[in-house]
Amino acid sequence: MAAASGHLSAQAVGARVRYTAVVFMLLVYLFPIYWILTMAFKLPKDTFAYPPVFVFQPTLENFATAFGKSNFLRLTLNSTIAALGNTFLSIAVGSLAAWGISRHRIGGSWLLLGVLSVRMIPAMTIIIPLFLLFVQFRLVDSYLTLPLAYLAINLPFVVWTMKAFIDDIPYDIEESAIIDGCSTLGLLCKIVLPLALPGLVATSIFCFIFAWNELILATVLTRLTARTAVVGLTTFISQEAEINWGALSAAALVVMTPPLALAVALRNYLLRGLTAGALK
Amino acid sequence: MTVIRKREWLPVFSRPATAAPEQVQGWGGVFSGLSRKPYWTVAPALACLLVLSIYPVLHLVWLSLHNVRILPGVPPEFIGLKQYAWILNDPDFWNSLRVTVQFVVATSLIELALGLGLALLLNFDAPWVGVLRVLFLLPTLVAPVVVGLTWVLLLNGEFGLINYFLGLLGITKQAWLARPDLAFAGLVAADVWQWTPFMMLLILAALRSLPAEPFEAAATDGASAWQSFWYLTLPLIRPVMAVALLLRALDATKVFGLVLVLTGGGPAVATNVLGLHIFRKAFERNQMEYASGVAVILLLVTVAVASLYTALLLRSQASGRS
Repeated sequence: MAAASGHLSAQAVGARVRYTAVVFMLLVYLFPIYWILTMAFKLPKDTFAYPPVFVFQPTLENFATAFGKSNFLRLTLNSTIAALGNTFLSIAVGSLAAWGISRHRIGGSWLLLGVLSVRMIPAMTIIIPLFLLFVQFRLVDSYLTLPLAYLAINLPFVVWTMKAFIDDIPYDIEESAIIDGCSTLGLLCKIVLPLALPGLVATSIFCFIFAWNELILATVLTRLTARTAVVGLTTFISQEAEINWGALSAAALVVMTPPLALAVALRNYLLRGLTAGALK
Repeated sequence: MTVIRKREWLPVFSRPATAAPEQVQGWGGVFSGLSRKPYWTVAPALACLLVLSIYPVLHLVWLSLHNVRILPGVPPEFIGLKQYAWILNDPDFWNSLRVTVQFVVATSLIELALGLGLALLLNFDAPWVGVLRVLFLLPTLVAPVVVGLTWVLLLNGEFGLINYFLGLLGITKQAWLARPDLAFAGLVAADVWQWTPFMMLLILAALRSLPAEPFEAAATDGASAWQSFWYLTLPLIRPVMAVALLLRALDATKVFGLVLVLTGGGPAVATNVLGLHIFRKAFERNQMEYASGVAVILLLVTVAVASLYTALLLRSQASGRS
């Protein structure tokens, strides 16, 4: 008995040690994110302090500079428009195709493989012809530019993942709806998408985050009107002689907040999407 | 099976336009199915992909084979593979290819090793462990540009945190972004920081779906923890590790934003990856045809890695189904 309970407590101690180690590692791991967060709230004298200061007088001055003196508010709004617009388009067009492929095997395995291959084309390889195409159709630097251009990357992703999610829904319910005379679009909106909601949310999060974070297409296809926040960050660093690190950190914090907030708020959906996209 | 039986009582005229996936096989099935399948559902997606992905790839290849004149009225001149001959004689191209390959190999292998370690560490059940796993994933969701900015601050030679912590350990300040080898190391470190958790997530999913029986059998046979890891766990999760490795390699060939912000390809051209090389040639030096040729080569590299990935994925799917 004594040996057994001794063994048990050794195990419990081991678990506790492991837990503590994981939490400690996590704190070290997330330290860079914490650091840029503090940078955003530091006065110029603290930003460049060496040795670095960990306790300081916080200020909102950097946010005032980023949003007031530069056009960062405009860029953030542009990012929102591009990301939301593209997510909506990709989900609408992509789920429709995913349903056709899942339920009717349209195109067979060739179409699916084709979609998968298109998904792997790097943006950098298509950007030159895509730029020439958008110039030709006078679509450079409009609010439609990025929602359309990001279809090239998000659409194959949506088709591939939504197909996997729709596969998991039993067919019986749809069948009885068809007997009741439901149209294909009605079927999709009233039955399939609500049933696939967890998958739909996961897929949408990834579309949004991708579009929000994208750099190459946004740099080349937009100018002053539709330029996004991520592009703004790169121009800050390359064009200004004296970089205002406080304001830049504040801007960077604004750029990384929506993806992180989405991830924490919808964490269960997120894990589904991450593994489904890669392994299914 | 139950689906088919259920449809037998349906009157023929009201048989759904949307037949079940287990639809009739053979030629009769193909022809009768042709009129019923709602092909229009895939039409918008196909149209988008044709215009936004397929056509650009074809146009890219065309561009790389032509010399396009800026002068109006002068038709583009077909120059065959000359562009590629110029590219292959350009030391800048070879430098970019070498840097890219080094970056891809270094990051994906380090991420695999660290991701495996992290997955093993996080493979236990306790309250809040799920939340801890999600928190580890946060860096993967941050824009590479922001990761680059963060690491510019951390690696700064004068007031950077990394030099400060090294100083506490008695190591002198390093000019991280000014020395070619250190700049490359910094780039790899930033990428590893961002993407190791993704590797962890995939491997952890594989670890958690491992069957319990072989491990119980090994334990009764007196296998040590190390032996059951080496002879059971590793072989069982190897397919997932291979897929994860290739997936990361595929992504690392595309690296752009991180390099643009962190090193700008420098010092000189020490970290000038292919993506940056193409971008600068096409949109800063206005050499679109040269850049198109390099882009075609980048595409070929991607296709090589991607077909390996697809083959592995299909194989693991097939073995999962049987």
